[in-house]
Amino acid sequence: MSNIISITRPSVKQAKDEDSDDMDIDEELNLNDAKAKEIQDIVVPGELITDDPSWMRGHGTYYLGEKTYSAVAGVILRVNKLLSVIPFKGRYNPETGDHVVGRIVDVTNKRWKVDVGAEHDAVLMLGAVNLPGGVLRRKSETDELQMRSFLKEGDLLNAEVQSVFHDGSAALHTRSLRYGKLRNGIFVSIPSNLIIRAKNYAHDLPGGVSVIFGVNGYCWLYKTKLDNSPGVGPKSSLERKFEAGVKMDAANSAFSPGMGSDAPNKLEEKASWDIYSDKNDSISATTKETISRYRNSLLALSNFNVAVNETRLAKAYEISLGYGDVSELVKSDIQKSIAEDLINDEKMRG
Amino acid sequence: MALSPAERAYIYDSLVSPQVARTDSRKPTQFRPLKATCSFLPNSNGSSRISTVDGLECITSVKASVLRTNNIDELIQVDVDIQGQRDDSDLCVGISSVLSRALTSNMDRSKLRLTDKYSFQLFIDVVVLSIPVDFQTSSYTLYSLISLASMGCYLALRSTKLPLLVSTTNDKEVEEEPTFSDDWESCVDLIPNDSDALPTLMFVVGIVGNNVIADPSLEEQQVAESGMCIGYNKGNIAAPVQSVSLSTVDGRGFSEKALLRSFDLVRQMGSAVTNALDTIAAQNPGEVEAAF
Repeated sequence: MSNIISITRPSVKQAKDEDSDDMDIDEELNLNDAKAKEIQDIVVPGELITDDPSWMRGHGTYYLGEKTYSAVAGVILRVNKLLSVIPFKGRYNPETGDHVVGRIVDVTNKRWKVDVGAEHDAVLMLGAVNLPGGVLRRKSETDELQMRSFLKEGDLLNAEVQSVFHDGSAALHTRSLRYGKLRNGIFVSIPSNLIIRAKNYAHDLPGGVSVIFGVNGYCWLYKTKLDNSPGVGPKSSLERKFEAGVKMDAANSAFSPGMGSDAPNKLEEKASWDIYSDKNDSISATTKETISRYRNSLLALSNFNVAVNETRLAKAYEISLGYGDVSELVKSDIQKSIAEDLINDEKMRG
Repeated sequence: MALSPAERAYIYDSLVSPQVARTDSRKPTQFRPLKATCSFLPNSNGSSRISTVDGLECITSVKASVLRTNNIDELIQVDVDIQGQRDDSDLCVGISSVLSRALTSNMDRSKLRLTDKYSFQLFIDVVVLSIPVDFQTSSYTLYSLISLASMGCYLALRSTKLPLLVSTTNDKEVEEEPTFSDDWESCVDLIPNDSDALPTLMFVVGIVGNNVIADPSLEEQQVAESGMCIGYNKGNIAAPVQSVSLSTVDGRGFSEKALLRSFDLVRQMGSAVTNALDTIAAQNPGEVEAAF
């Protein structure tokens, strides 16, 4: 019976738990920042930061008369005389070089609008994608007319932030075989502040599943590409052989440096129409189950405010295997214990 | 947000295969966890609040007023309000018509009768507090809200209390207004625990190929070929039964097999869901507490 539905009362206890998490952060920050405490470091919206008019007011603040207040919940950042508040949570703020996962929302004149979970949709210019026929191919009017045959509304892709406009919106590019349309998997969205910044955001996980952590919190879980072709899978054959001997973490730490440089030839072969294909490979039922287990592990961590990277996700997956059937993982108490087990495990190791 | 063709194909293929693999790894009969509470609105006779992990939340209030009428049909008024949707939108109208049919078909009206001339009129108001922000751009229709709203109504009705009638119900057309006990402590349940007349629960199931899934998530709704909205009352399928389209694209009819399967599925889930809701309704009955 309990396998069919679980209804619980919205408990006050949970709110307390969240509070205690916040407290931990609070304490840590206080320990790190024991200097110059004339202004409190963590503020809530509407809290008075200072009544000294000599401060310049930055992002996340507002002022009434000479008093400066916080507009968001976050930590105070002081740079010389500039006072700003960096929010704990909020929309993703694009920065140049970020690896993001996005979804096409609009096709317009020579560009695509891409939802990356930021305040504004990002733009992907027609000139910033690889078109079938190789890098040296010139963009023509025909390409402009058939933009929808490359990418259309709803399509998911991973890309890099090429530049950020002054209003905070981003321009993307997919000019590498690492980037492009996403296939063979499922999309999971978690808050962007839970993604731990790392060198690489595409990783192979145990169980024949790979993950792309977009810095914007959009993640893509998919079946690991088995052939050695570049494409979305991050590794060359050399690295793959290397990985067989070495631990997963080590192999994940770098892309092969040659991947970009030998690209022109490969591009011409590979950057044909199939990089824009919508067809999935055949995916076995067990792989699908593994993917959904990873999805649930990822959501478990995000629901209980645990920041994720590939080692944590792999660990959470391992822990989740101890909880029996995959269908158990939708329950909130099990998600909670997975998140707790993971944190305890990390504490044990130090 | 609209799904990409690759995502759509992935989810569809998983759902249509003989061993159904849902993206969140639920069993075909499994619901997502819900949060619910009842009797939290102090100035309603009965109320409930129920929310899903999707962020859909639904508040239901039941209010009773004394009405001088003989017309038994107008005793129960159901009204659905969805945040951001016009009252005459297809969604609002669709949901409230299904709900009012479900709730009026099996209501024990003798409980509402006060005298030959006077009756209680029940106003059941359902407010859906938020719908996903991408509703306008996505292909799901949100008819699955019927299931959530129906559970909300069920809880609210189970927690509804009416003042104790001290005058007699048998006044033989004499112009006499009913009188009630002043003591709210001696109120009576609209639906006593041993009552046979429980409100009909509505279930929305998604149909993909020959497979039927309970409580389709928003992603699953977008690939579902069709949906069925099925009433359940005391171990049996009850009126109303109707087909609803869960997605605006790729809709398709369903086979006889899928139809029978969806009935079986609802029969399977029905008692578990009823029990779970009854448990919630039975916790601290009547105690007004902070729900937020």
